[in-house]
Amino acid sequence: MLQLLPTGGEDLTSWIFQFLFLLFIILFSLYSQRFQLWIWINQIKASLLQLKQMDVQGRRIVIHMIKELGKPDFDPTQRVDELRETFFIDPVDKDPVGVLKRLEHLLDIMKENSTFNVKQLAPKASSEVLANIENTLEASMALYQIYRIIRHYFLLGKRNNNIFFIAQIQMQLPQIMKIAKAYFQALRAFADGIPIGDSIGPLVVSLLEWKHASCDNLEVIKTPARDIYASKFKIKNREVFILRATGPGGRVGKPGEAVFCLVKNNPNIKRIVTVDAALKLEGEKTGSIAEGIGAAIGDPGPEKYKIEQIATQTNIPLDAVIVKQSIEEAVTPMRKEIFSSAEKVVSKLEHIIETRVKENEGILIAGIGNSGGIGYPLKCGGSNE
Amino acid sequence: MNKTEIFTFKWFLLPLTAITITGAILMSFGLIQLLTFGLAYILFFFAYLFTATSKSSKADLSITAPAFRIEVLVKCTHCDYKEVKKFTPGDYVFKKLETCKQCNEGTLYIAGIYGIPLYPTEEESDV
Repeated sequence: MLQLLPTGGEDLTSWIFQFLFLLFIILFSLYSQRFQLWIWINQIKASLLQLKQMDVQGRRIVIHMIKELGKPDFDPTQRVDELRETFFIDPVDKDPVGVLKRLEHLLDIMKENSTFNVKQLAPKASSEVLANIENTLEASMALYQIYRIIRHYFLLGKRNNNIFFIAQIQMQLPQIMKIAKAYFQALRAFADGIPIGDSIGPLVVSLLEWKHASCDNLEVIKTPARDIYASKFKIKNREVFILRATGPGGRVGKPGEAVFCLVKNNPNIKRIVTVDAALKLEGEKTGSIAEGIGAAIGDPGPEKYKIEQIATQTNIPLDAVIVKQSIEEAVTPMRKEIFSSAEKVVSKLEHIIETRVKENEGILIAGIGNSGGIGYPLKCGGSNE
Repeated sequence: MNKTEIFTFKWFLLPLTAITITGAILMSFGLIQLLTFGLAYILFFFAYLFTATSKSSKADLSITAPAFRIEVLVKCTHCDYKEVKKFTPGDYVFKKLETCKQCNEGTLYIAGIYGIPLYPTEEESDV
């Protein structure tokens, strides 16, 4: 430190340099947090601009889609903006009795409202296109929500010079941006009707039907569950029931309710298998398959509860087959690795049917997930439209 | 390189390490070199702040660009004909297309639709 002090015989330049250097140390020790805050604020600002850009572009895609495919006789812009502000209030859970029924009721109302509103916006669109518009609008709403929340905390932190707010956003920013980018790509996929990673469940059960059902073997079953397709066919003298969301428009339906009804009405069903996309842990391979016990379904609760309830009531084993993928891969167009895993899951299901179900007994296989871009393997004529 | 990467710690730390090592070597030659090192350090710090501020005001236009090439796998119901084509809106899995040109018996159908990422995504883990 003593070396920093000027010694006799040095010129003015050394003095100035030394003064500047000491000034820098003093400034940095007093205002280092401010400098840090400044850098973080600018980093968040850059990301916020990107979020805004994605939100604006997403909104534009939705409006364009409605105008092009729905052909409304009015400008849908204002109504789309209103719908993007829609919110959902969770049911009170301080008294947990009947919370799932109340949640299901609210979710049903939300779905009905959403379908009704989209139908009003796009009166000339087919039911499949309407389902895709609904999904696209939901993705746009998710992007808008992310943008608004980040903007809220950013402005709050900036206004109050609160480093804690800013630091929290800055540290979570890479993850948030990853999710936002995934939602934007999901929005594009929904708009075009491209299957997403989550569509693996419907794809697998449809492949199973494609492989084993024939015109004299296939029976389409009507269920009271909303947006659900169910059918029955035989594999090696075992009755195989399959169910999935109706397609090729993007829907998830109510698979829990469908499983409940099918098992209740068909006492021959002796096993339930759910097939779904599941979140992989970091380092795990995309598209890898795992088998386990329980209901593989990522709903807010009511559907999973119904599957578990009927399985427990009837004492039926509940198996799950999952295809691993990250959250980004689950909502973006289906990767080739995930698509390739569908055949392997079908082989696994065939093995389960052969080894765990006796002859003349039934098994129910539920393909859980968004059915966007997945039609029906109708080999006996008919149309997917 | 992604535009946002310029703000990451890595891009701040590398030149800083270079300056520190150079400075340490120069220090052994006398006081004036130490001062030069100090000045370079200060200049770099403010240059970094300036860069971080000015770059952030520009939005990254590539953010909303398509990130996938969508491929459609077409197969024949009768023979082993396979074809990969570009996705067009209205395509969906199990959609029936025209009669197979190879066997003239089966019907072509869409067996799969999948996305190929246009940019490398996550690095494979070696642990």
